[in-house]
Amino acid sequence: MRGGAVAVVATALARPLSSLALNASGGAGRKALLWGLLAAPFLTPVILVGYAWFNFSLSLVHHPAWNEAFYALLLVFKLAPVAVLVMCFAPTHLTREAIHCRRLARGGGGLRDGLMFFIHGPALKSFVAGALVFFFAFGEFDMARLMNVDTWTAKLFDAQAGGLPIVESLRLVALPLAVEAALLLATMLLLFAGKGAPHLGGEKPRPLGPFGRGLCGLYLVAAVAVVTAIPLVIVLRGTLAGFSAIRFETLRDDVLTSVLYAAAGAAGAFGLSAWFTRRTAKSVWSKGRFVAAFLMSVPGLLGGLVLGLLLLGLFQVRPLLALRDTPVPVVLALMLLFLAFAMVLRALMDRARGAEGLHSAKMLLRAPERELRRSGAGLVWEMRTRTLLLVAALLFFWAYFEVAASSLLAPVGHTPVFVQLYNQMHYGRTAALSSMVCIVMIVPVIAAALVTAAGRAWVGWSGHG
Amino acid sequence: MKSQGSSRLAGPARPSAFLRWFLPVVFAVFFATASGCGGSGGERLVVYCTHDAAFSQQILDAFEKKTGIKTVPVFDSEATKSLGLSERLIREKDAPRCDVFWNNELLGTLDLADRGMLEPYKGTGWQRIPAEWKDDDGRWTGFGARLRLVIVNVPKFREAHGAEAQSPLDAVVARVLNGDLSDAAIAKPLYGTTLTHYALLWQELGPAGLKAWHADCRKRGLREVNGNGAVKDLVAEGACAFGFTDADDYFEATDDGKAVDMAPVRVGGKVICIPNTVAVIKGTKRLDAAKKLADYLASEEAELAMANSKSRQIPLGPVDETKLSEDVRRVKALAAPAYPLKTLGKARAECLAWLKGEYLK
Repeated sequence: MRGGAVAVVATALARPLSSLALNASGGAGRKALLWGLLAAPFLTPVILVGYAWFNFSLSLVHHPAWNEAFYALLLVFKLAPVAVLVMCFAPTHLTREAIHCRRLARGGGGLRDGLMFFIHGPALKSFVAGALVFFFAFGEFDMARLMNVDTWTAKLFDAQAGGLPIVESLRLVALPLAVEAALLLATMLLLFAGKGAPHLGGEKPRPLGPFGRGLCGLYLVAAVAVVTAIPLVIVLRGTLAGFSAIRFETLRDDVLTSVLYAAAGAAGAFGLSAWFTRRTAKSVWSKGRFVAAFLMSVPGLLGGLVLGLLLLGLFQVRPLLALRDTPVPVVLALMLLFLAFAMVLRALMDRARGAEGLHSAKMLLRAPERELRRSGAGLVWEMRTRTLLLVAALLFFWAYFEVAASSLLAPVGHTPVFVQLYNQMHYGRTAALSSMVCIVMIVPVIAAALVTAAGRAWVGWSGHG
Repeated sequence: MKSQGSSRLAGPARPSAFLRWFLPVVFAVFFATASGCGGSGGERLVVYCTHDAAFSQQILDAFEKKTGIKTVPVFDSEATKSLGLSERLIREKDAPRCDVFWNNELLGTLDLADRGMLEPYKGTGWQRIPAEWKDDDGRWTGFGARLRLVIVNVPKFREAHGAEAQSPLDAVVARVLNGDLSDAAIAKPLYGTTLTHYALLWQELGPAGLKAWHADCRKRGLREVNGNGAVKDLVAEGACAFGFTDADDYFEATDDGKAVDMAPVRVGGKVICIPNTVAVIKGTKRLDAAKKLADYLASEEAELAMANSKSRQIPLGPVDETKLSEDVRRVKALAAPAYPLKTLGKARAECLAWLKGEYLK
């Protein structure tokens, strides 16, 4: 119920916000700032948000309905960017010509035509956007638990008290899993289906008026303040004072461990999704591969706790027992957890870019003139590599900040750093903790920047070859 | 003929040599390194520890320094708190990787003992601890305990109870607990020391008595939150006037300068004093080292270190009293007579089964 409401509100907000993003005027810097503001709430780790608002949520203990509403508001702020992303890049079954004709006709053509136009255009995008937001909102656990909100995920967590056979855990999760799986199937069918489905034609939504732009601006400021700025200020207060108390050698090893787990998990999810979404000459996807992709995505919908327990049990059985004290279980868990999202993101990405344009750009790479090759490399970067890296970075980011499965499956002595910090957060805030959180949060940003720079250099270099 | 152009038109990029070779090599090296530590064949002692990492790490470091035995602690994670390390031990029963279990409460350890998962050992640590805080067969030893108590926000409590609040806090709290509880909080009793509290009431009041008390508390508005820390925060910040928590949480609030006071929870005239416990896991390949750690944790040195840490645990064995802080002496004086917890294993299992039914409706 809550997940559905959050999905509806976030999707409704995404329409004007996507218009603001796609029609933004000004230079590249201004556009980057706008996209940065849009993305910041989603990229702020959910545990930081819950931890920062923990005391405020406690103060609402006598008003549970207000606490619920505040939690839902945080979810909307946090997840609306997902809907915006889909609104901007999701495919539509309408050709550019159809959209143009519709505009020329100024809405004429009868109710039935109008309805069909709506179903194949805005409704389709809204469905995909709403479904993605719903996945995140419905399966959310960390913030709900910190804020003492009742959710099925929190109930499942409580059910583990005193031990619960894995079969019983799976029975409890069956209904939510069925809901998620049905929605995932519908979303994947929409995204993958039909070789004739055209790519997004780059049709921009109508620009907003000054009033609409003002409201969107206010919304962005509020979302960034509540979900990103205030939590960062609260959690990172005293950062500078705490640096002297950090054991940098230990922290370095722990961060490296986390980076490698996350990188391996993200690479696995990314690679598998690439293979599953790969097109053949005859069709956009093969049915067998589609079914395999769907089935492999389902375990991730179980959430970190249940998937972690499942793998924990699996790696107790010989011959897999030999792998229990290796990073294999945790990497496998991270890969499975984010495979569904990787799949959807890849499908969105494939549909958003113009295949013909990319092909032309790639042909430029074989041009005899150096300048042409360089232009081609730049175009390939813009049209494909940058987006690929963005998807990979997002997967890495999620895996890096995952706690439930990681804490269950990491080999002894190699616990991911964020699991350790998450535990320490429950003992109160200290300057050293703030400093460590600061370092741990900066690492994925630096990693993303380095990989982006390397990717760009690689594309540039290949253009010179 | 298959067109190369069409097949590659929008397909994924072929991974570069860098991606195909370099990254797998990096991962392989990392996997090999990570797999070498903590495995059953390593030299390090694997310790599952539910005591707060911030305090227990110092004790383990001191042990390492003293004996040269390296320890690899696995701390209880808030992310999987409901599962708990004792549950993980049960899941790993057939192939244990843990050598020593340091539990910050008793009932989970009793469960493991009943399942035959603990190695009997009556070392020097076991010998110095009084009989009521250790297993007769040496399967576990208690040390460093904390009191279950009612934490009170002094200004808010005075405001609510006026002149009555000037009387001894113990007496007022006892009366208040029978009245309106809409300004009071407790942790969900499914895990931790609140479960111990409930299991004890299950035994003392009987199943029907506890169920009636639980329903009555809910009816009188008792707020349930996700842990003792949250109860402490609610009371310390003045959102609630009082609540049930543990002594270490109370001291955390006083260290933060909050205007709080406390009164021990009494059941049948006895306080609830919950010890840490140490147990050697049956089947460990590092038995000698595990025994050394069990002895160390139940030693005077470790008990004093825990008493003088911020969590101010009460020493259970004989210690030099002059080395204890005023706070610890105060709670130590309150810690007797304590309710016997050694026989609560069955009550815990029955109570938890009922609670899960209640909370998972």
